[in-house]
Amino acid sequence: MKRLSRRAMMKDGLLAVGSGLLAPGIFEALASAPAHAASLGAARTMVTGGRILVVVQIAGGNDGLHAIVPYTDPTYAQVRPTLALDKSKVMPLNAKMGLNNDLGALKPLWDAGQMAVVQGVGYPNPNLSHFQSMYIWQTLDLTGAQGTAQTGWLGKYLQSIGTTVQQPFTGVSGGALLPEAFEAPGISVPSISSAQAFSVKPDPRNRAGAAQRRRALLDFTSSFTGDTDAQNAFAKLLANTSQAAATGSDEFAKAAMAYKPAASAKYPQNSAFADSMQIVAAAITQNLGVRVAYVTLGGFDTHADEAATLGMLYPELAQTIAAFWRDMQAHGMAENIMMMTWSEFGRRVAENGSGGTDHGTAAPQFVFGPGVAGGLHGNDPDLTNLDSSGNLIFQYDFRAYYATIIQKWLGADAATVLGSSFPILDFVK
Amino acid sequence: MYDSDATQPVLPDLAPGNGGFTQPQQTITPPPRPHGRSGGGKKFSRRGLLIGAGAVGVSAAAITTGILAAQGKVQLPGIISGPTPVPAAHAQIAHLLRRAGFGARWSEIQHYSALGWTGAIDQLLNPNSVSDDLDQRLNALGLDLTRVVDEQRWWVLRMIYSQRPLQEKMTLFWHGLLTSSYKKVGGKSGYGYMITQNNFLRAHAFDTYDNILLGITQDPAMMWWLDLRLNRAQSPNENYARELMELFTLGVNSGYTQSDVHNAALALTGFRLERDGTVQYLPERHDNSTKTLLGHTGNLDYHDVIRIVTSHPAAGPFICRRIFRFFVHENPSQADLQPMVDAYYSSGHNIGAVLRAMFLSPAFVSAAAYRSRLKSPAEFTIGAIRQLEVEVNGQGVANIMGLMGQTIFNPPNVAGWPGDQQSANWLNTGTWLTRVNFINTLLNGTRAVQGQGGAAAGTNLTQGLQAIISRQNLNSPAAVVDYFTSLLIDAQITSDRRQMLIDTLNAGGSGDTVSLAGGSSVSANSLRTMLYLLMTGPEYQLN
Repeated sequence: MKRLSRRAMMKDGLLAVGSGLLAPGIFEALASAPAHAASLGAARTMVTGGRILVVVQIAGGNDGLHAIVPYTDPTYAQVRPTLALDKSKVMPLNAKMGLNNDLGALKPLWDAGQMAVVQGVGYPNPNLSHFQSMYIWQTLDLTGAQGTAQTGWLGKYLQSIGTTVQQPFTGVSGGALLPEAFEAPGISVPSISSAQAFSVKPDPRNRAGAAQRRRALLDFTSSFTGDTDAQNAFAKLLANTSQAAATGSDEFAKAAMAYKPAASAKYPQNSAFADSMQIVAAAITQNLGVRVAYVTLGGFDTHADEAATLGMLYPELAQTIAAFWRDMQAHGMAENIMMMTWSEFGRRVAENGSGGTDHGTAAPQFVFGPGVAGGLHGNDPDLTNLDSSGNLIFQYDFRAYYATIIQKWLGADAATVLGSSFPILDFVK
Repeated sequence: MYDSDATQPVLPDLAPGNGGFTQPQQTITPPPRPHGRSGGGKKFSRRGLLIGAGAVGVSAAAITTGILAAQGKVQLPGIISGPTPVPAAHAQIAHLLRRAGFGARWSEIQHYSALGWTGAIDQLLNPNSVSDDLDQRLNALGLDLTRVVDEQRWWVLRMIYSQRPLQEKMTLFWHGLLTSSYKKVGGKSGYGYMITQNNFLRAHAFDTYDNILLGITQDPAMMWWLDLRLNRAQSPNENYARELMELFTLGVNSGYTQSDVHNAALALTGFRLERDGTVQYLPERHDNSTKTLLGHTGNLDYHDVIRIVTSHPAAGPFICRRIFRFFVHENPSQADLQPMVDAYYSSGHNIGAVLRAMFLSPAFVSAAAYRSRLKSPAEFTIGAIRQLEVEVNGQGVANIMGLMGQTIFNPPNVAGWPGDQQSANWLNTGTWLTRVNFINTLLNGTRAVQGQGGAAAGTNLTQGLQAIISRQNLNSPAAVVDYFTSLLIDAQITSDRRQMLIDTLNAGGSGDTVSLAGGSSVSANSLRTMLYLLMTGPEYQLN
């Protein structure tokens, strides 16, 4: 999308300029919408048929060695006396590595060549704090603790494709909170925990008046004119946001009504993760213009009783992902979609004294879809060549992992989105 | 509680359940009594404005329009007529209390108006001169301050019911700057450290920056958050040293180097955080080498580090700009900051002096400051609960604030909330919907904002609104609208938008009614809808 010059924006009256007001970035980004689309009530630009990325965050630090298991490696059995899985507990992927049976729902995707495993993803000088490592993965600020980056990589991607408030669903997050990865000036990604929460709620004592009250709300919010440049900039921001929220919640409500998961999909019941995935599925299948969707499953910080914990979480993860792909297949959308996982770190190679593992470094990540080059990518983990903390040495920088998806799947310039160039890997066709 | 000195006048309209204020020592100037219709749109010179601001009550006529006309180019909507015409002093004090607090109740506007402009500012800056029954209220709830939800509830209730609004607001400011998150403070056993830190920031809210930083350096939550507990002479951890300069005092690109960061880390060695949360300074653990920090050389220790950074020429402008952007508007000029910077260096880095200079500066009452920031989630939720005089037990409020993007005790990262500096960051479609739905919830009552009495808050709120209408003797729909616009948005609303609100209230409807003075009534549904529009509208969303 063409970016308007500052001069052109002033001419169109989109940019508040004048004494005292430096147009902050967020207004600039809003104002960068073409004039015809920026007027309230104008039909928003539909982005259909484009490629879609679904991001699955596995929060807490997933133990890669418990997912893609080096079941024939003697060191593995030795350092994990209670946790190690033998041949009977895995589905062999090759002579050395096997898929944990608890993730068995993914095997059909593997067999169809639609699952790539990118091994040893990490970054230099790993930060073993959950919080700081998550921050690094989301913002690419490798100092981790500096906290000055205010943009996430997905937000930057959405900026790079010229997302405006008239496209409320280019990014969508299933769940109540917005991931830091979406943060960017002018990017307003809806976080939807349910269609009901993402709506203008009626007065419970006067439901009959709901439509009229909502119209009044939008009128009253949009008809304010300020006395200063700053007030007018906020007036525009509030008017645009309310309009986008109203349009977005209407569209989403319709989408949620129209969407029916395919009978073959069989999403797990009683799973907030599966519910979030269906919010994403609704937005995608009803053509809301989604380019990036995001869902999170947490609970992977397995310092103790890891086998039991992952014995619950892995089936939920795998069955939900498998259901989503069956659903997309049935809706004829699968060809447009790629799904990738990330987790802030893997875990310590040796188990601890509590039947668990402590914070680690590199781990395999999973990529799904017809667009992937299925199979294992990269070397199998070397359990004898560890860092001073007993952690795996990373093999692929997570930014190369991102760059590959941005460049080869989404067709955007990875260097622009990520701020510099990284190697392009071979897991995307 | 009130002094029992019966010679002091009792403040009008101070609700009995409100606690009350210790009467100030100086003679109280009575609040201005408006007489009939005030003039609209009349513009005053800057000088006239400032005189008015400094001498509220001297002459009602001299302060009729006030701050909104400050720059002479602002079209004023005019001061509305009705039973509660709003003099400029009211708007000024309400503006002050939105910034120096979380929005004022009617009684508080009257109380602070009576003190005069400088008197009001001085009382806000001297919280210990105001007695507060807050601790009794909080103690009665039996909260467990090692649990995060109870900690959040504790602070939410402080913000709602404190009689010391600026102290509470400043605590929130410090929490966004010298921040920490429970997510990294030593796990469950460390959650209580967040309260220790919060109490420190409150007690020292207006202290010198040196004392504040000396305290926060040895604060257990901060020692976890920025890893100072791991900073050892043999293996220095640079996290705190870097943020002390980058985020707390000097700013990025202010001239310090990686060598300064390293040497500051060495100079900050010597602390040990004990398991019980106490902090020891052990000289034998301090790195005794000669270090150079920002041009100062010697066997520097933490006292030296703090003194060097707070005395640095970049420190005054840095901290004053942070404070200005939080309290006044987001684009200060150097001239706007100068009175604060001067106060910083001439007072020995006293933050109270900086705040006083800011509140008394022309910039604070300029048109550029008025409604120049989007309310933060705290300002929006706490203010709405305060101003509608809703009795809440505090459950669920922090959660709602979190859905609006501000989870207290859990900032997004070490830089705090970006909205503190640029308030547009608070707004997106999801947070806007949450704000709108919160007002709907508040006006109806749900478990989240349930009243203390245990009855459904919706019932209580309708009763509460009825009580306000009766107390204020509001006798027509226009009078109701004028009261609430005066309370919530200084009656600074165009006549057509005011009419929209009156029409909404007049729309009638089935169901419950609320009685007006003089015998007529309005529909409770319409009253809720009118307040819903007013409190979701831009005038109220802006601070």
